[in-house]
Amino acid sequence: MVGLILVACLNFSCKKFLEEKSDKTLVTPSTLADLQALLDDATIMNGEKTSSMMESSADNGFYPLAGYNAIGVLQQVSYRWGPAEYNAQDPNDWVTGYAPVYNSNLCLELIEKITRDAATAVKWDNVKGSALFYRAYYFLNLVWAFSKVYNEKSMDEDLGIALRLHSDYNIPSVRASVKTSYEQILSDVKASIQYLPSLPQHTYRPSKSAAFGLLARTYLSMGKYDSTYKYVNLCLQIKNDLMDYNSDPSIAGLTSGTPFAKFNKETIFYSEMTLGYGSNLAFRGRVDSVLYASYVTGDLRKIGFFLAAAPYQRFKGSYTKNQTLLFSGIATDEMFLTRAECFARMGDKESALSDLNTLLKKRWTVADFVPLTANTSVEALELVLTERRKELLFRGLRWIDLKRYNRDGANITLKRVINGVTYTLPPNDNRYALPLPKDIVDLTGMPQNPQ
Amino acid sequence: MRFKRSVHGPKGYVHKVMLIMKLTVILLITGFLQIGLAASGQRVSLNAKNQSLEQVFKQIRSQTSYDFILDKKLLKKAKSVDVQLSNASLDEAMSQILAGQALEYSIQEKTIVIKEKAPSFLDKASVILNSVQDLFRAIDARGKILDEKGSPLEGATIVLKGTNRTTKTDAKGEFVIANVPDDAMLVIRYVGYKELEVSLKDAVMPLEIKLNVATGELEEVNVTYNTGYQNIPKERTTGSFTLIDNKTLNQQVGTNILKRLEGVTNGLQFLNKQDRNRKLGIAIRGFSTINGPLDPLVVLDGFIYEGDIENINPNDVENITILKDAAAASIWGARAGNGVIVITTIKGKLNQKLQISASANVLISEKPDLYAVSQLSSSDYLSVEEFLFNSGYFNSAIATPNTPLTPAVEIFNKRKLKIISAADSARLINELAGIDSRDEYLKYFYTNAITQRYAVNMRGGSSNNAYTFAVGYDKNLGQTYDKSDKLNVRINNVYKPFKSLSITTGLYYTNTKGNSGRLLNFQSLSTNGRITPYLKFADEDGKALAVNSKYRGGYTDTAGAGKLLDWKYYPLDEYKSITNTSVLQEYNVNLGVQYNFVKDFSFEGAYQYQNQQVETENLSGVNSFDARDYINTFSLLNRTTGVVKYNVPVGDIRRIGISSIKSYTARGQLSFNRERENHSLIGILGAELRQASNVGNSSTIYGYKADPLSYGNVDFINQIPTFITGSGRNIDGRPIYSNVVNRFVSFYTNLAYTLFGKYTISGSARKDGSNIFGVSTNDKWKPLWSAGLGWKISNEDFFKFPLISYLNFRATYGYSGNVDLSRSALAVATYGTIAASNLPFARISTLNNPELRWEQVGTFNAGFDFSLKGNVLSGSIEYYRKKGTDLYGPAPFDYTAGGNIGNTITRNVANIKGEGIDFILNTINIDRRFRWTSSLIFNYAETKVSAYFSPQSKRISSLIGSGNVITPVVGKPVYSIAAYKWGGLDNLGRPQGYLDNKLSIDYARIIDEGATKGTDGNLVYIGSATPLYAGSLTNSFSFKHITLSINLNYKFDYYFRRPTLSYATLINGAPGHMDYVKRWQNPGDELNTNVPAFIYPVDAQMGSIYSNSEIHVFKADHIRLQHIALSYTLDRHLAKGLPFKDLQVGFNLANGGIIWRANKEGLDPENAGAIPPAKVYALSFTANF
Repeated sequence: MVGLILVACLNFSCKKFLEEKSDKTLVTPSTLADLQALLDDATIMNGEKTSSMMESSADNGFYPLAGYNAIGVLQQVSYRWGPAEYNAQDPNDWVTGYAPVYNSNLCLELIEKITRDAATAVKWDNVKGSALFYRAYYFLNLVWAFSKVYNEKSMDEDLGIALRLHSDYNIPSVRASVKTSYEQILSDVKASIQYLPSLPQHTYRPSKSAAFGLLARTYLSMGKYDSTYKYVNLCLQIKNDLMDYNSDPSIAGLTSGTPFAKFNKETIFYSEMTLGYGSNLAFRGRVDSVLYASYVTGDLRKIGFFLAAAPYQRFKGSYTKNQTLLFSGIATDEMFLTRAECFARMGDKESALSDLNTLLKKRWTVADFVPLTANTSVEALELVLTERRKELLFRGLRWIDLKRYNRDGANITLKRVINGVTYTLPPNDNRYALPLPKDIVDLTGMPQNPQ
Repeated sequence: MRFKRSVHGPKGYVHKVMLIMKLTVILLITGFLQIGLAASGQRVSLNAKNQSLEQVFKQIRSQTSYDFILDKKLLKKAKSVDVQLSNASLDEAMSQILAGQALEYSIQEKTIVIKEKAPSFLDKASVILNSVQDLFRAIDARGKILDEKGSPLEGATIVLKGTNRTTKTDAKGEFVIANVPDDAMLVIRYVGYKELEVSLKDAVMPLEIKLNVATGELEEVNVTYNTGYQNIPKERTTGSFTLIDNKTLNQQVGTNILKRLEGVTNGLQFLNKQDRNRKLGIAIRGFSTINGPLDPLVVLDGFIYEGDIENINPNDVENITILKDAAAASIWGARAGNGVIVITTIKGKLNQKLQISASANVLISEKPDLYAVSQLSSSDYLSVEEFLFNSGYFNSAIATPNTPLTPAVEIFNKRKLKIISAADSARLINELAGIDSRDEYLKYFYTNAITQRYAVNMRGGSSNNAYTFAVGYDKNLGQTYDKSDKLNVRINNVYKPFKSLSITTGLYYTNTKGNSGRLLNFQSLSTNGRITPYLKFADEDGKALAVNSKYRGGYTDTAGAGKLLDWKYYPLDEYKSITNTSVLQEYNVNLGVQYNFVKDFSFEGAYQYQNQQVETENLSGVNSFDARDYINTFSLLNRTTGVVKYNVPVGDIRRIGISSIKSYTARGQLSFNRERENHSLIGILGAELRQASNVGNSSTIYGYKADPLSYGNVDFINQIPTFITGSGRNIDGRPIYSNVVNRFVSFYTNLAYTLFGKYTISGSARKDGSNIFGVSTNDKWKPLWSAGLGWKISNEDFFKFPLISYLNFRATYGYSGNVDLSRSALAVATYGTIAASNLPFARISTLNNPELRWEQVGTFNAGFDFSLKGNVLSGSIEYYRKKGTDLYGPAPFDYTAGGNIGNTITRNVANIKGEGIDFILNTINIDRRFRWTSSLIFNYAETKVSAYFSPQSKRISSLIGSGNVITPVVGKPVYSIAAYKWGGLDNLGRPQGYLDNKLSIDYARIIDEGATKGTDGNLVYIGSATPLYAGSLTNSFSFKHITLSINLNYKFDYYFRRPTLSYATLINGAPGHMDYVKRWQNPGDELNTNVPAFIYPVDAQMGSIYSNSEIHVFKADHIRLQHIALSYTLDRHLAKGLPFKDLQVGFNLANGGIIWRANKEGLDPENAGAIPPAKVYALSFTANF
């Protein structure tokens, strides 16, 4: 009896006794500064983390035979939408996508142990908001790559992603539905807004503008244009800088190998695609020739985005200042095109054209620029979508665009011809949800996407 | 009267229990029987009328071939038999035959045993009545027990012979046993004294009984085991303990108390392995972990000891208890997985006259045997250097003006540059060939080591106070002229203000000062990585010679243009300018309170604070090469003005480091101890709080001057251009600070219940929480526990072997744990700065694992303890199985949860399995005036990895190597060796391995096949690299006042890899191996030698096939003379008028060397290729006053 009381008392009071960290030379993150430092680890939080597998699966680039033969077997299989089997040690967009999620979760757990007071409020808020933003940002990247498109008819059954909301790896991963996945993303971003500053100290860091941009991206992929409009508008209200390709301090000369500065003024939030599929695509892959042909003289992007690699073109227009590292962050040009699309879809032809021309004016030579016109909002929408393709190639956006266009009936079939053999990806095919790593499927029992 | 009541109360209950037990036994036996009979199907037909029982049994025997065992007396008492049976089962037959007889039967194997029927309940009732009547004939035995000097002995045990009634003497040495028969015998026992039997017949009460000191006997009277939390009498334990008493410990004389366990401790082995987690070099019963800590837990006087083991003065140690199985060790919970070593110090007793003992020892050890290390002779080494020189090997070194060249290369180069003649060159080389630097090392850097040890111990006590005061002082001169002094002071006090309260205080203080000696260890000096065997340290006049170790002589002659400090290195003078000192201070304070608040219950509170601080100072005087070199390196010389800018100021360099270990432990414990006639229950319940912190601190001061105290400032932040290359380097010695805090909270309990002095059951449980474990582990009540039972068979009525006086069976099962204090359940990050954003960042290097927990070791232990009458032969045999689960090891994990770390993570996943036998046999061979006793220890232990995840753990090729580090390969012992099949040399002297079962010299593919196919390919798995069988034999002889004890150690059934010649390391400067002379040189040599030809350039893979082949692996079995102890005791009986009671003079030899080995190479398997431990001779004097 006495013992039991003793046990009970001690058990209660020793909780605190045991919370002391053991080795003080180890940084076991606990302070606000530690948490901010975890989120400022750009290598984990911004660098080479969004899926390049979805970019190489899309139709911006293709491999001529020599390039195809030079890339790895896994990249080849993935490129022809085959049943790609890969594990931890292979190029693995799943593992890279979840790395920032861990940091976010850890910070979200630890921030609750730190009291927020007047002195710490700004830092505290930034950590909390940033962690929520990053988690949502990478969840959206993962859901775009590894799940079917958001479709209200089947979103309850369609397999989403593993919504990891805790840092403890002992908690097993399970796949949520597409619906729940999007709900989590939306609630995370929305929750982040109140904590974030309008503009960040650095574009590695999240901000309100980035959060609005992310919401616009999310809603757009869901096909909810009113919400998309609401948030893209809020985003552009904070930041609407565009580089003038005719002359801008951020542009080193359009003919140079890497014309655009890293962290240029269009960047709202900076992130990069993984190298696994991306660097091959940028280096050995070539720009779709039909797409390239759609740029005409006077369009400065024809010079700024492409590098001749006879008989085709390579892409060099990444906002990473690196030819083989593809930019996937949120930028103002994407926001202008998103808002233009919303206007067009909502029937506001004039506003759509206005946004579109605002952007194009900065993309064309002054002499050649003629504002686009349209007779109907449908025509305007077509113009917007064409320009979207031409402006945002190799940004990691085409894959989800294809998915949503096909959901809405665009009926686009992708086609690869490799050494005389033709491979096709019909609209809304199961393979639009990319395969998960095999070892993860084996280990966790999560269902694999049908291939 | 009080006593009488308690006799009756439990008695009825006990009889009931006995009845139930017997019934159970009978039921079990019958159940067993029927099965046996059904199988044999024996049938009986009888027609007996008024026949004698004997006649009937004879008929049955002829029909069934079953024999009968019975007392003939029983036949006489038996009634005649009337039965008619046809084809009845044996069982039916026997029951009918014995119906109405006062007999019962049992069938064992092919024998029918006939016995008198056990008394029925009614019969028993009458027995009780009789015993009640007996009470009126009973008397109370009372008396006083005294020691040989007439002082009362507290705690002596008095046993009423033939019963289980015992009592103990109180502080005045007095005892009472009520209601004993007037003709009873009392047996009196006290540790260290001869057992005495006293008849009460016609005795006068109170008795006054004097005990005599036991000398030299291996008596197992009143042994108690100290678990650190409680003292448990041996007869009430179920677990596996080994107790090493003071006498055994004192047969060896070293300064390290744990080293004295070697060769005398059942179940404990010393290992010569180099694992990072092993500090003590001790393994108790094999291994329990792969990646966790390997040392047993050391407990000193009830508290975990984390100081330096050398701080414990062996003179202060009363005994050491080794806790081996779960029942013994699990009370120490999560840190007991490797076993526990409990050290108990000598303490004064109440009512003890002042005792003073003083001792002095001298230990002398020889210079090390440097010649045991195989290396090339100087002339062979020179010929290799000449060959390399001619092959252009040194060209790039020669081209770099500051790179040092060996003396030989300097000569070859001068010859090449025609600075000297061919004749001069040959003469100079010849001179070098005549030098063996081992002679030089032994002459200048090594000496015979001498240790002087002095100790005084005073202890005694009054009726309410006992005290101990001990002082020890050691003075040591080491083999490399290093010196150290050690002072130990120990004060212990017990106050007993009331009978029910005792307060203990203790202080243990250690102060050690050490001084480095001549610093230079054999083969530690190299010239640009070349360890030349022909170095000379002094010229003919004894003047120190410069050795070009770091820079070329020609460079240091001129580099500083006379403006820098002398840049030469004189090994012989270096130590004169360098003082490395370390000062260690440790104090250990404890306070304990014991309060018997209710009968049988007591509360103990204990607190200990321990603080060990080690301060090291490395002072390199400005005249030392160390300081001169450092200062020059950071000096800038303006060649035009000749002005030197010193970035490191001229002066001494003082490097200091302070590390401290502080710990405190607080404990509250409730003890219960009830002994009644037939029952005894002892138990404890407690809680403990412990914090241990390690703080480290280091810094360097440049330009230091002791008097007047001054020092300079240096720039630790920026890189400073260095003199030779101009490239920037940071000055070392920035202050460094570290702090580790480990906290534990534990709850524990332990119970042992003994019935009739025969049956004991025990159980223990412990829960540990710590700041290392994860949250979920600390929150879960998942205790480590143990359960055990003991059965003293020799106390059973049916046990009728008069020769065997003691036979006890024990079995236990339970769990203990193992914790790596360096792990953390929290996420661990490292800091850096992102260049692009200039923001500091932190990156997680270890994921948080809230489920991180202790490693768990489950142990099953069963054994017998036995002794023959008069202890002529006694000992124990135990079998154990160990299973380590939840061991730290890599595991694949769902990297969705933390993608930055890879796909494996360290978790509690690996498993290990071990089993073994501990056997000890003590014999008294001759027990007259000449006495000869022996003690044989035999241990078998094998530990295999049963689960591990890593690609390497699936490959036998991981075991290619020396077997000196734990290498987990599933299904193999934790230390083991594999090797390449050896195909001999080919006709060009190249080693051959096997590829697809054919001889091959395609080394890359041989290695590949070894890795992929293992033993199905060209690998041979050879065996364990630690002994599966080990033990010792100690023979002790005594005649009058002389005793001699000789201890032999043996280790069997394991393997070692001998060092070999490696051309790859030889050309890089290693001193090589003597096998060089046996190398292949001419075609045909391959028939006589296995040593490959010297083929330059060297193919490293070729060398690897050779040195990792099976021909270098040998059986390591050997027998070693561990120690000899000879002593002579002079006491007052011999020489009247001595100033002391007795004087003991001892001579001791340690590390006597190998006396038998399985390998024919003459190698010491434990020190193959290394300097063997030097023989140590010791002389000691001990006087008691």
